[in-house]
Amino acid sequence: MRPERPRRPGRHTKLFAIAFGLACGFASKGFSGSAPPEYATTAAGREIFSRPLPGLDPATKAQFDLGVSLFRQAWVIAPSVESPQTQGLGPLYNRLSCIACHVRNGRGVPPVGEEPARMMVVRFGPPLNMPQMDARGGPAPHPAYGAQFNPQAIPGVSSEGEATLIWQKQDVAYDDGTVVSLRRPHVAFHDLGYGPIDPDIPVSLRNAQPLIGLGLLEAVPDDFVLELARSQRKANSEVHGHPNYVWDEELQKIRMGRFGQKANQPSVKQQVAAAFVEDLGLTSSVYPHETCAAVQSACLARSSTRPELTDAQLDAVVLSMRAAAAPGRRKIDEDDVKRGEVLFQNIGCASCHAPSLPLGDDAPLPEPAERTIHPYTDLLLHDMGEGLADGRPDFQASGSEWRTAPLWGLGLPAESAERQNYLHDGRASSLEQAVLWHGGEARRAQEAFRALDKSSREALLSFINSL
Amino acid sequence: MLRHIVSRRLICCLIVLFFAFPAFAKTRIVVVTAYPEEVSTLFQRVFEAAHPDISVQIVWKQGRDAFAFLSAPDHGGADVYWAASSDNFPRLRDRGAFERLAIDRTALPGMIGKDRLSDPDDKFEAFEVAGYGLAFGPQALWRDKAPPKSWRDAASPDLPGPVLMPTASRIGFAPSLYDIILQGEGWEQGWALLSEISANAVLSTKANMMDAVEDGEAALAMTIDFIPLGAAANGHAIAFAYPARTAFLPAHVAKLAGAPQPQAAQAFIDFLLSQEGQRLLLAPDVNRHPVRPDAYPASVQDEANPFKAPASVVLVFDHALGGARRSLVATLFDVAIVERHDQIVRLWRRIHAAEKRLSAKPDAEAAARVAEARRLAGLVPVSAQEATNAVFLAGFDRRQDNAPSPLLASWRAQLDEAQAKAFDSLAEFADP
Repeated sequence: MRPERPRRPGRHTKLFAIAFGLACGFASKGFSGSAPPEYATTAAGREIFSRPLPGLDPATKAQFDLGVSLFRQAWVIAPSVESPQTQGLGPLYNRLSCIACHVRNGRGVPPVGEEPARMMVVRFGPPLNMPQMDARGGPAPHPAYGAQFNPQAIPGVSSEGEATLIWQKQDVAYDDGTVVSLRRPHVAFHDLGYGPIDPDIPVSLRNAQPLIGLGLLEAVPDDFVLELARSQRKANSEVHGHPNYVWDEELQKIRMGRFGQKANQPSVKQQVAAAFVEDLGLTSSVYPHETCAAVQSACLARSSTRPELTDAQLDAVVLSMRAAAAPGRRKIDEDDVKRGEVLFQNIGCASCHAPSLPLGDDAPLPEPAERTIHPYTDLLLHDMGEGLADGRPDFQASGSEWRTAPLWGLGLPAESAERQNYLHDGRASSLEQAVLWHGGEARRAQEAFRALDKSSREALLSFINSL
Repeated sequence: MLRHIVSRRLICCLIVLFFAFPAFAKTRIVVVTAYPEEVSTLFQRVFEAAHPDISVQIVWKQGRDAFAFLSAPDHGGADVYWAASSDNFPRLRDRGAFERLAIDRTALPGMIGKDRLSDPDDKFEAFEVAGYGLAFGPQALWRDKAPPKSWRDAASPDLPGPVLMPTASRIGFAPSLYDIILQGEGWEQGWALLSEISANAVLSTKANMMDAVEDGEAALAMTIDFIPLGAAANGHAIAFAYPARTAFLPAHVAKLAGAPQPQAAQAFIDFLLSQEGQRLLLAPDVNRHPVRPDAYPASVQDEANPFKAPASVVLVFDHALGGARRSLVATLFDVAIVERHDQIVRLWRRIHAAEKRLSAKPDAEAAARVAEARRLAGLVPVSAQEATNAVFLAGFDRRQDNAPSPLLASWRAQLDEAQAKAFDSLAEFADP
């Protein structure tokens, strides 16, 4: 066990001072020193999202490695002679492994044509004539398909079907007349296994997101997040984020949410356990029941009666998620990047994409001595407008609200010459497109971006790419 | 303001249309594989993009699970078996599980040099090959050093660090890795070399041992090539050497007899074996070697192209024998090396120390005793004849978990006796 670190005096005073500074703008400059911060990996290459925090002790590193191997593991249908320790896939599932969607711990790849959207999940709400919330205040499941569409099934159980995307194109013009083409996905279902899907129900398409720096984000104190929300309200602008409050399965109470694209999970552990049961059909001590809907009798009959994922396996994956480093910044001394950082601040991006957050005293991760991180998120929900809305509320997140996405590591796919897929459903194939989709509370910042001249826009994007 | 090309009303109509009338039904094929997700997902995605009318369901099953599943009368409803499993393919073929494939031999030779990779009766076809060798850290323990050239380099007592040796009963590629050495050196000499290498070894139950190599915790890792090649492609400081007398071993694809979707299954197999499919093998997350010579772009280095490897370097591997004795090799590795590893390490260290002393101060009689100790330390309790005998090998079918325990007890007794005698022979060289 790691020795307990003594609590620091005046913690709350410091938090409020930093939050006040952020609200006033003077403390909101992100990391711009030449040395990478201690929590960031200095490694390079295509596996940069899979690197551990620097300085893990050997025992923690071994746990990290075990977690990474389980993250990569293709889980198998029970019973298995060859790999009984990784059996339990299904009865319904999306993929065989975590890595299948979180490619090298990063984003999924949306389909470009008519092939199935295999690296994405589709979440449902119930028909509008049914209660929209469950007993905990979360989204009620669809009566026939549950909360998430599962295209795969073990033998003897009907698959729920297949989802493909139809891309709707539209153009956006900058003030200087330059036109950018955007695309928006719509889901089409094939071979539905449990009856037709009502066109009126909420359907939320989600692309897998990078899993970096999660332990650091978990270590940001709730008080600080609340203070950011208060600061935004006091500023009396269009930006007025609020935290989500969600059900904690382990603590059996409502807590602040901070993980997931609607901040609908309170901890890394619950986020990981939810993904295992929803995406792979692997139950755990956190979620001991399969996700079969009431009408899916074959699924219910094949459900596991005890957790399929052991606590040791779950803990290892959780540790590997918590200890995954954030990438260090690149090109910070370039003039374009420096200029872009100023623009980022001036046009209002930093109002939600808060450059600096403090780590609390109870950080459940191998702790860096450095107490400030630079993820460029406020962990709050913001209304992002009709263009990005999915119409599916999730606890206190409305159908048009999303948690501010962290920006660290955002430029790395482009540096590796890989396909770029940003936003919750992967619709933006460049950072520029992602900015242009911002609406709602971010409308003014988006309009300010469109009003910039070409070199200023490029400078701003260079800055974001350097994060 | 956004300037929409398509009117909102039209889009709404389209969306309602898609929900209300689910799109056309697809043909679904079931593909049994044990490829890592990065590999199977890539091929699945590219194939499905090119064939929007076909959906590929991956059923992931390794070794014995795959064999049991595909041995069922309906082959579990599978259409295609696609895996690196040198023992399952011939056994399933012998049970009549596969349909004959029509292969264009002008594009797919099914051979590399004299090494036949595919089934002579075209019941299963080579899909890719992977090489075996030694991974090392060029920026760690091998900085400014010449890279290793032979398997024997891993046995050197002067290595700058330990050798990572995969445990044959736990790591899928390990029995084939060791059989390359056994076929290249000969059965007895091969086991003696493996025993001597193990004196330098940390026995690993992890397939991917590259972290320890990159960090300088290990001098070498005995491994299949796509792991270090993938690590290097993804930015790790890892290098890989193909030692002399190594081999490139195939993975295969086959169509199940009575496949529920024979045409779609054939389309998937055709894609895997096409130039486009074969070129996907060169992707940085795959790193396998195509079996189509025309899939290698000019930019690929000769050493990464088995078709250009000198015949003097590459062993002509007996694939049927290698597949048939995987279980024997794994069981023998457990009994002869894993179970008594501490003792082997002490024994070989004493032999190496004795040889060093004798080289400084020659003594013919003592040298004979050390040579006898060396012979006994590397002794394998199974003869070369037994190791090629089909009846004997059938007794080690891990599918039936039938390794005969009286025989294993006899092996242990032989090894105990030989190693005790070896220590006796070295009595004069015992530590003070």
